[in-house]
Amino acid sequence: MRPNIEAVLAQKPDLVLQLAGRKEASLPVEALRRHGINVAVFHASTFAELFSVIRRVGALTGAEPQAEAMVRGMEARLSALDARLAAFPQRPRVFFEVRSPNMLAAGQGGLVAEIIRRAGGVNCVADTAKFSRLSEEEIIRLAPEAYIIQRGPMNPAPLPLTSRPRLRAIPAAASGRAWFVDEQKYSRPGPQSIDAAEELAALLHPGIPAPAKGRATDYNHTKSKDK
Amino acid sequence: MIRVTGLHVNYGRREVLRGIDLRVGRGELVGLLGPNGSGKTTLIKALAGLLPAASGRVEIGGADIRSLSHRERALRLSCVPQRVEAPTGFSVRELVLMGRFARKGLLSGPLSDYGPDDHAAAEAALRDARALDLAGRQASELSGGELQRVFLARALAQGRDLLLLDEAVSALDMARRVEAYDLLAALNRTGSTVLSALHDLNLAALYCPRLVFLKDGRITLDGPTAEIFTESNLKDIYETDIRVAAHPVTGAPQAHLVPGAGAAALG
Amino acid sequence: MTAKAGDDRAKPRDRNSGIRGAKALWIALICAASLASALIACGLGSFPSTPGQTLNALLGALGFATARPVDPALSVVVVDIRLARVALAWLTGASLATAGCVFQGVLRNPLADAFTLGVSGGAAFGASVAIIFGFAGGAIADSLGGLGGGTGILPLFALAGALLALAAVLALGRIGGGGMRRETIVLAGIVVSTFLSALISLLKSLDEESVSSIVFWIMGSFQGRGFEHVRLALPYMAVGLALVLWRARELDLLALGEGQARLLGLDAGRSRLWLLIGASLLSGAAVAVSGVIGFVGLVVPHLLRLVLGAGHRTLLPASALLGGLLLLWSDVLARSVLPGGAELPVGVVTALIGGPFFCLLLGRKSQGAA
Repeated sequence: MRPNIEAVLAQKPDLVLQLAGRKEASLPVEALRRHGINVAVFHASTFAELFSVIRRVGALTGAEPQAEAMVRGMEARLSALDARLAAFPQRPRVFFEVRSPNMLAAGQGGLVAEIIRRAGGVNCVADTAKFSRLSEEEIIRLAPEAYIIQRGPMNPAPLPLTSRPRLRAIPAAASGRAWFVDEQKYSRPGPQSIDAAEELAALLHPGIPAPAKGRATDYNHTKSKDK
Repeated sequence: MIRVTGLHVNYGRREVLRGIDLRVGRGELVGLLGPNGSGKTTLIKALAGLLPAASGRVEIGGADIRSLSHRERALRLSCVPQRVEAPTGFSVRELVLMGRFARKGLLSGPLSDYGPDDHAAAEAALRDARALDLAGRQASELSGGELQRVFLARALAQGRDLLLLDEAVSALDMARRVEAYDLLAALNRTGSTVLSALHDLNLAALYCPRLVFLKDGRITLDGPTAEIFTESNLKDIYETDIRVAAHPVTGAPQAHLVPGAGAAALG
Repeated sequence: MTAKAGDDRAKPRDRNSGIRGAKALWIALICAASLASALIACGLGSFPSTPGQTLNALLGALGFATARPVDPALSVVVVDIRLARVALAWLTGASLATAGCVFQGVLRNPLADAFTLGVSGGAAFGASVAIIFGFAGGAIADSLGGLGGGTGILPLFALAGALLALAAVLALGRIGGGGMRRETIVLAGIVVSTFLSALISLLKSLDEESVSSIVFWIMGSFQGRGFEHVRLALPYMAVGLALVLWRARELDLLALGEGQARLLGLDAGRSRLWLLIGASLLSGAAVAVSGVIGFVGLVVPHLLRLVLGAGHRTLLPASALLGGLLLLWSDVLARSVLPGGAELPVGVVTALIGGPFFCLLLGRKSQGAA
């Protein structure tokens, strides 16, 4: 839904947060600012940016210690993931499908690319943009070894890779390394992005040890549903 | 050939034809006359089946026009309409060949060309309408008079049994009018039945043995030209002073206007 | 007797043979270009392939024994992707151009096309509904026992939308009085397409998440399409094409106006109805498998009318051939003009080519008229 400025104003908020998106999405921001509302627009296409966003939100809401603890916890899980992946030198070529049909792939410019990298894979799409409209023939040329299909509002009813005859020529189809994942977890930057990296690591490297228990704090609310 | 009984035709609520009874026998050449707005064009359209009758009936060759399909109507009568606009992108020959449409069934094949008979008929029609020299031209490039000759040719290609003409010569100059009516008279001698609506009283009196006068949607006079083409009749119908004198060559009655008859006092 | 008939025939034929020869030459040229283009287009794309390999893969797919074994990935790329797209683009272009030609003839309006009648809008609306309710990917269609033949249910929604829009236009035209008069049809078409575009906007604003899917679908693309889409669209296109080609001669008469058409023996109302149904099937099927692609239906018939004249028995097949050729190459551009295997929506390519070209045509025409 588009934000209704009147409804936002009626809440008399002290602060409005917005995740940077399409250009049109910044129009209501200007309107809110004209009404004297504080609007903070965040951009998070890497984990480093995500951490700085969490810290800034903590500062803006007077919850700096909690924010710091959250970031520390996430950083710790990422380094633990790195350590666990050390024993797995292979870096499979991963293709991340944002939307199909009218294929849209994750490029190098978004958090998904970093999730893939931290999960021990290589995003085979070289495009530096966040998304890339690719032809099927280009996917075959890229020859991904793993094919990740996100499922969610942007990709409401994707077909499994086994039902796509033209992609049978890619290694991922031959090896069966194709999975559905939750769009909310992968394409919405946030604490659950760490879950995404851990989940993807487990998919790409089946022998990897499970993450240590007890680390997950209250922000770990999403459960992986689509395995 | 034509048999009209009690025909009423309305445009919306306006009654245009109010009870027409008319018979035209095979081989007649009839001129349809009358002032502007008297219903000439409406009658021609009703005869061609373009306008539905509010009441009464129209029979063509013994069959009620309503019971005939468009194709059957087109095979029984050819019509040269009053206002002709030039379609773009068609040559004159293509336009005349369209007169043969009714003879091509849906089963004759979608892409098959018009046959040799059709081409021969179109050629003959173009020749008779003195339009053969126009055959290769684009219809959209023609003058109004040339276009009327082409549409006459199309009607001839369609069929020569029964011809309905609606002001078909109004855009032609005098020489061409004579040519066109010489042609109609010749067609009539070879068996065509012709009903021609026209404005030109003298042309009608010169060529048509029978005249039908319309006024206010009714037939006010119908009879042999020599009997009804009189000064008193014309004065009644056209509401102006008209004198009639014999044509110097044929002796046919010819109408002459009198200057000053229409001038109301200016002040 | 027979000799005389032969003589009579010879005269008019000779006069026309020059014009007819030129027309035949044009059509033969477009045919040859289409075949050559199809071959060349199968060799173009981001996946590396030499002409020899391409030919090998094509021959292999036709069941010929090939000298060297064909790389299965290359075979998929050349046959299942490129050839399928070539076929689908050609068919879609042919359908759109033919439908455009018919719409222009029936409505006697050189700017009429599937948009004017709301047929494109109907298809776009049907597809938007499918996307909003999550039918787009095809999982549901497959669970319904392969209803969409592996293409997903979206094309069926789009086709249904196109035909419903036409039905609405015709029904409105009836209410408006006068049966099948072209003025009422055009008006009803504008009403229906305006209403449908408002409905699409409503759907988009209700579901912000689906906006990009709808927008990209509406832009038109052959990305991700294959032979299953050809199989889906072909029957509708074939029926539509047969309907309008069968009545090509009637289109000539309709061009003269309703009154003259009837005087020449044509039931103008019925003829228009069937022609509109045929053209709607053509454009509905095209939009269903490709999204909305503009300008093909406008530019192609226009250009050919200048060259070949308005006789529809030549114009319709020529439009089909040239429309196919144009869209074939537009799709090649759409999938190869950007670096790195990225795709442009083909509707954008046709608009970019068609827009300026159309301006040129209009300029020439107004010059000619002056």
